[in-house]
Amino acid sequence: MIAELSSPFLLYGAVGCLLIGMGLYSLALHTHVYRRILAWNALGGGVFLFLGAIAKRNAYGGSSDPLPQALVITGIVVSVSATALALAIARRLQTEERGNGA
Amino acid sequence: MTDLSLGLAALLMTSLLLGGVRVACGPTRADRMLAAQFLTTSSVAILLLLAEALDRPALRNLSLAFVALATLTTIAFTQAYSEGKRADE
Amino acid sequence: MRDRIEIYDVLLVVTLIGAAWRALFGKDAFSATVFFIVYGLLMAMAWVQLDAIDVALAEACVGAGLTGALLIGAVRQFERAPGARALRRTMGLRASIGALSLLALAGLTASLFEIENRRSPVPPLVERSLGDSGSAHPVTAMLLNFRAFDTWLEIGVLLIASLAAISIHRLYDPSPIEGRASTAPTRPRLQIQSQTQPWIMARTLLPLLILVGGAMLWFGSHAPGGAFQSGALIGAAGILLQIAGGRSALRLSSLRTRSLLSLGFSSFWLMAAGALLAGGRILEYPPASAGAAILALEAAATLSIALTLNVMYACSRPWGPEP
Repeated sequence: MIAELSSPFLLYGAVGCLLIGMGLYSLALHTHVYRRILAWNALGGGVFLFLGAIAKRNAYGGSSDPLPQALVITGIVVSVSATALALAIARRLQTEERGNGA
Repeated sequence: MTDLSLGLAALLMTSLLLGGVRVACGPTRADRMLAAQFLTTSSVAILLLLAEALDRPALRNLSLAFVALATLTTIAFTQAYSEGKRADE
Repeated sequence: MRDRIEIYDVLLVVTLIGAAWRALFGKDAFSATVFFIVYGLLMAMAWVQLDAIDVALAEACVGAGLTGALLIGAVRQFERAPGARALRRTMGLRASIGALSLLALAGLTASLFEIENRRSPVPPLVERSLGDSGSAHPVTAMLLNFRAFDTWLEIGVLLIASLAAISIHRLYDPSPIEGRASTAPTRPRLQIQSQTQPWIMARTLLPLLILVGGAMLWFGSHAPGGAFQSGALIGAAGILLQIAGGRSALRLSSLRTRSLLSLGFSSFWLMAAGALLAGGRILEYPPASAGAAILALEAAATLSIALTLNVMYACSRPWGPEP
């Protein structure tokens, strides 16, 4: 019974882990800043999914645990602002490099 | 009814998978964007089916958000790749 | 909602991993970006399966919608840059990176089995105190009451990030008008071309986005929804206006922009100080007026989040906003 109940936890938790692993590999593999921003975001998605699986595991009275959900919601908003900031910095960086090359 | 809805949801998820292949094939940028938009449409259909099958009305609000924001990506794309062309040259 | 894995979950997970694979390891930067948008979309579908509709909403609005628009707007300037396709070539380096990533993957997966049978004491506590929280929806109660301190600081992070983006943008163009002329074409101050597709779409979508955003704020008191989702939708309306109306839609230096940016943070500050002065603990609302306090904080946070997202979008575009 327990094993059956927890199977969404294991499936989505494992996917979260896999995404973290893939994200780490991609982050180190790429040398261009834009691809690294993408990798960092995908990695974050894996972490969020891991937390979501924990929320599902802690389900009580038919609904998932609100604490990890709240964490993930704030995390998503922080990560979009971090992404936008990273893009602004990357744009600046590229303009500098272009300026020096010309 | 519930089984039928869930079965249809699985079928639509298969179409999503195939749509992903179309995104990979391209070949032009517009093809890829259009395929991605098709995926959003399928997702909305899945959400509506799930809302019915699992009696979760909140999923209808979710599908509304999907629709409202899918267009934003398209508009950003058309702008970046047509009108904005002058901007970085 | 369901506690068993079905064929649907397996299909969803396979598609999600496939999209992530192409987003991370695809050769072409543009198609990687499109796959990243698809990845966000599928992530939102996964949140539905995990019975976290609030998160699915946030992911759909922010992850797939706004991040998608940001990246699609930005990829153009990066995709032709030298090095956009470059990978670390040395096989030895690649192998060691791969081994380390696999190690992390194995460790995390092992921890999954380790924590499988643990349970958190939080959900029963939440259920017991939900009546006093001022919100009938557990996630809203968590964000705006039980853990309001976290949300306050998170809004602080947004404020800092938007100020940082403005500063970078400012440094980029020290003398606003002459400086920009060399890097980007001069655009008319208000460039709303009434016949362009973005403008036609914006005119249709703006009311819808604002309406759905406002509704989302109200839903938060009893159902999935709330300040973050609402802020993202209203922010999307503003971004749409920026795309359709050129860069003049936003003035970064105006007092109005700045006070609106900090409105969310300062509302939390006032609420916290008020609670302390009234003899309570920080951010402790009296149960009778908790509902009103939550709604007020959420409304302020919504406006700030919406404007923050607009500022961030404006500052990461190829051409910047009005200084």
